[in-house]
Amino acid sequence: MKLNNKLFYIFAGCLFLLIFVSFYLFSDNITFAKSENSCLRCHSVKRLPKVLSNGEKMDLYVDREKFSNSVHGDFSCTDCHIDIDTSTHPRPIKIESKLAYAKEVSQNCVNCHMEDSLSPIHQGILKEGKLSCAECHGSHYITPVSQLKEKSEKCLRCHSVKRLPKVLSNGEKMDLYVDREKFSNSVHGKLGCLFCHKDIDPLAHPKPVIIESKRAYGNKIFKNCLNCHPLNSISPIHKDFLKEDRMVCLGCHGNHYIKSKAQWSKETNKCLRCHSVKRLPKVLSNGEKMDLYVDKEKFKKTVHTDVGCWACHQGINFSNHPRPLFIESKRKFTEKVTSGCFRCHPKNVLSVHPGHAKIINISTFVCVDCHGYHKNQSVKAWKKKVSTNEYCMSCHKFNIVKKLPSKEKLSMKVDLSQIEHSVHAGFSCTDCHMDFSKDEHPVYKFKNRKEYTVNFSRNICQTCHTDEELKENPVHYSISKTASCVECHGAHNVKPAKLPAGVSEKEYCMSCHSGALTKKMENGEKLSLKVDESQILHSVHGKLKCSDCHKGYSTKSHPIRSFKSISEYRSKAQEVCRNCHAKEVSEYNSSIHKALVSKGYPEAPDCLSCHGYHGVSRISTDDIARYNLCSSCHSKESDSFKESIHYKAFEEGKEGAPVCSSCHGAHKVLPTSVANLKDSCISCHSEAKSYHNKWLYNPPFKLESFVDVHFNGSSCSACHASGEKAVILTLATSESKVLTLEELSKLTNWDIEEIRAKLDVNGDNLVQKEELWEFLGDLKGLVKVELKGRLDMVNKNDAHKIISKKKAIKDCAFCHDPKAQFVGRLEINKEEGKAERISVERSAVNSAYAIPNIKDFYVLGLTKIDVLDTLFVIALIAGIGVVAGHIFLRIVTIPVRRKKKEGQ
Amino acid sequence: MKRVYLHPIPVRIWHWINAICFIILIITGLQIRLGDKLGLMSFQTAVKIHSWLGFVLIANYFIWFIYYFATLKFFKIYLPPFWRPIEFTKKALRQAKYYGYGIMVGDKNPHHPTPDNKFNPLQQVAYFLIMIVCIPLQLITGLILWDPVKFQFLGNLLGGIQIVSLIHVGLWIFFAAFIIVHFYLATLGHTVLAHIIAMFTGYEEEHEEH
Repeated sequence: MKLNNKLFYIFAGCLFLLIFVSFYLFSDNITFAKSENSCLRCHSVKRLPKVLSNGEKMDLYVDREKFSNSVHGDFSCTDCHIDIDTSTHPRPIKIESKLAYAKEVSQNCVNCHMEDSLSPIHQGILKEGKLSCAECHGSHYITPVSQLKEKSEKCLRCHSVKRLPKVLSNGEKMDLYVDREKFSNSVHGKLGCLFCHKDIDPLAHPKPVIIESKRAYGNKIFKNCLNCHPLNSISPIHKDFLKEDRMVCLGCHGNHYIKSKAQWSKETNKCLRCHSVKRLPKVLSNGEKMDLYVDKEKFKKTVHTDVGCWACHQGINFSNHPRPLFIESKRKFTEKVTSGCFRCHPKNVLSVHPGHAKIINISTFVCVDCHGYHKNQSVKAWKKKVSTNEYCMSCHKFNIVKKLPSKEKLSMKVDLSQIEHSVHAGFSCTDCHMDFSKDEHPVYKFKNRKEYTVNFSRNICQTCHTDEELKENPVHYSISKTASCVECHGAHNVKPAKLPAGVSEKEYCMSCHSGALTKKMENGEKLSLKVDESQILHSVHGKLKCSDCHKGYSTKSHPIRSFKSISEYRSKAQEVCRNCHAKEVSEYNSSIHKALVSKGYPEAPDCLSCHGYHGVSRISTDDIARYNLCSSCHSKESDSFKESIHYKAFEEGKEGAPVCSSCHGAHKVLPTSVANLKDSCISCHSEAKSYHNKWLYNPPFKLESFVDVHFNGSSCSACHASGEKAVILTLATSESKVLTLEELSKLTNWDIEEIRAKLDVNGDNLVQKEELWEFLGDLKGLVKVELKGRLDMVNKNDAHKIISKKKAIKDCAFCHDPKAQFVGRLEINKEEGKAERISVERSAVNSAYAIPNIKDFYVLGLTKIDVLDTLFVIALIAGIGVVAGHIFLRIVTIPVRRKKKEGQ
Repeated sequence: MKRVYLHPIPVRIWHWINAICFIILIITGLQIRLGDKLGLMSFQTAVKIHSWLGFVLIANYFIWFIYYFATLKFFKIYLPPFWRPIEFTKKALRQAKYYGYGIMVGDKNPHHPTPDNKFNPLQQVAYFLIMIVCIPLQLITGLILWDPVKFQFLGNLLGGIQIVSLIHVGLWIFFAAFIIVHFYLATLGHTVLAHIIAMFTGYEEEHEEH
């Protein structure tokens, strides 16, 4: 037994070895499933399904009979399941999911059903990759398309009968009727019902299904549309509809009776049958004529040819058309129709382009203004075809305005013809606006216009026109650092940088200075450098060249100067005038006006204040201008002047009627205390002396010098103007030079306030004669001074109120009466500006102290020394007294004489 | 009774013109100065009269001047004999004593006028000064004030118009007082009217006392 057992084990071992070796050797030829029959031997047996790694259950059963009846009945299993290795099967294969496996297997369909040969819809489905072929066509029992329709017959058997509608849970009524004929004519007629109504289980139907609402059901069903019409296959417009979830396919395409493109086109043709015929236009209620003609051929080429008429002209259909439609106006109709554009082209999509976003919100623009209506093209195609300039101008031809945060408005409108006539003719928009293109339109945020123009200049202009180029002209370079290029050169109408050879100097200068150039002073003040050429041309300088005044500047050189302030600039401007008008400038320099300018009075006039910058006018020929010029500052004086006989003559336009400068001079305007205004009077009234001499003389001879006596001692206005009169005393040196307050202060070492205090010791604002003599006494200890006297107006301004000759003072006693109505004033001149006048007791001139102190001022009666009158009386009394005394003594001594006589 | 021909006709004419002018000039001068207080005439009239008479006075002065210098009587009559100062002073003192004392006690006038020795020493000094200093100065300052521009050089020479005016007014005061005294003295002849009549007739009657 032991041996038998041993042999058995050896035999069994050899057999096992043999089997193992033969398996190894012949494995290539040995298979369990050499044919489908061999596959189906296992797979036609209903077994437990395979459990996949994702938990799905996959039924591996194949109905042998059904398979052999299918279109693929003649194929072997591995024709499709090429992943199955018959030599290793049924070694378990790892399958992730049913779909993944279906897809993997479906890829093999392409081996026979080449992708090119598939319909676009099929191609789209494949591309999308969500569905495998098996989803629609089944896996093993593939049915030909022609058989699909037959399946729908079963459904239509019930649904083609008009019945009561199904009442939904929200109360809506849902008609379940389908017109058999219409359905079978529709594009989906071939597909049958279940392609879309995937929710229906044909085996369980007509078991009632709960449907919440029509819309909810529509939303559910439409998702199945995407099975065949996946997202990648539909247009962006369609995609957006679906994204928005605003509309489902059924909204436009209907549900059961979906039209083919051909059908749509047919309907469009139906519309065009009438509208492509040129007819009389429709007359609207506002009287406008609306052409109803649509060019058929052109419409066919537009992007909307597929959608047809109804997509835009909603509400018009064959049931109500051509019943006349009430249209108020063309624009109203356009606005109404175009408001429908946003149905397919929602605003958020259109707003991707910021410029476009703005335009669509402008109520005055409607879509058709840019895109046209019946002849509109696809933007994409148009964009591709159109030139950059045309593309940009499609929007920028409109008056688009950009509002900046500074509230400035920037016009974005471009006049293409300006560019064509500029040095940049032939440039395309993007040559300068480099960051813009047909596809790019950045949005910049500028705070204000200045920032925009400066940025524009730096980033655009200076790309080509570099600093090196600008440095050739130093001024140009410096200007470019502060100003923007466009300020001078313009934005689109760019002027040539180089002026043509031989251009006049004026044109050369004006090429920049006609623009709004400004210069910044060191203190921050801004001076406009803009020159109005017409001003120069109309001025007396009309024939001058710029460089005639602006020495050092020419077409070759342009020095850069800097000034601390506008007032410093203006003081230098005087040098320009001096080149030609040396006399006038030197006269001006000695005037009170210049003194005030030097003192820093901002309102004090210089050359430019009266004559202007460039519009220089000859003031001397225009009396009204002369008068107005002065009165613009000297309004008080002007008012007084208006009371005068001079003004009356001026107003009446009498020849030679005086205005301000006739007396005060035009350039050498002096303080009235210094100016010799009498000469001004006499320059017109040259006969004044002889006229006065007719009555003003001392008999027995008519000497003109007697008139001089009066002319020397008083101003003309003292007799010829209305107003209070004064005896004016002025401090002068012994050489008759009038002393100024400053000179006095320097000579005495008293400061100005001290001088005032010494003059009016008691501070009553009146210099009593005692104070005056004491002051002069103190002064004489230091300097030789005396007082000069004259008769004049108390208020200088009254001197303007010249009265007529008849009214002038002719009564000698007016002045020569000892009690004449004169007040006293002490006039002290100042280095700059008007003299100071201090009230003085007038009787000072009647004091004995006046004799040494006011040596040269003598007015008969008015300045008589009072003490001499007393002396006269004393002398008279003394004379009479002596006589009376003598007579008295002689009477008393009568007896003595009688005695003596008798004695004899 | 002895009649002495003291006042030749030119002298008499001159004297009376001078007298009238002086009186009127003094009065118009007063009116000019006191225009506010005195109402004899208007300022203008006063000035006109004053100016006219001023020139009359100038012309009149020349009558005197020409007569006395042409006849050389000036040196006999007016010029005090300064070359005999002691004798002259004694005489003057005697004359002053006469006016102050002698005339009261009935002394005789120490001076006996003759055509060549018309003035007593006091008269001689007074008239010499008046005729050679005061009147010319009054005339010149008057001229200056008449037209201060025309005669500015003279005014400046005298130290300014205020000084000129001061001199003119000062002399006016003097003449006013002098004329009173002069008129009184004229009554001190052997009769009250003796000298005055003489000034008309030219003959002074000298009462010879024995």
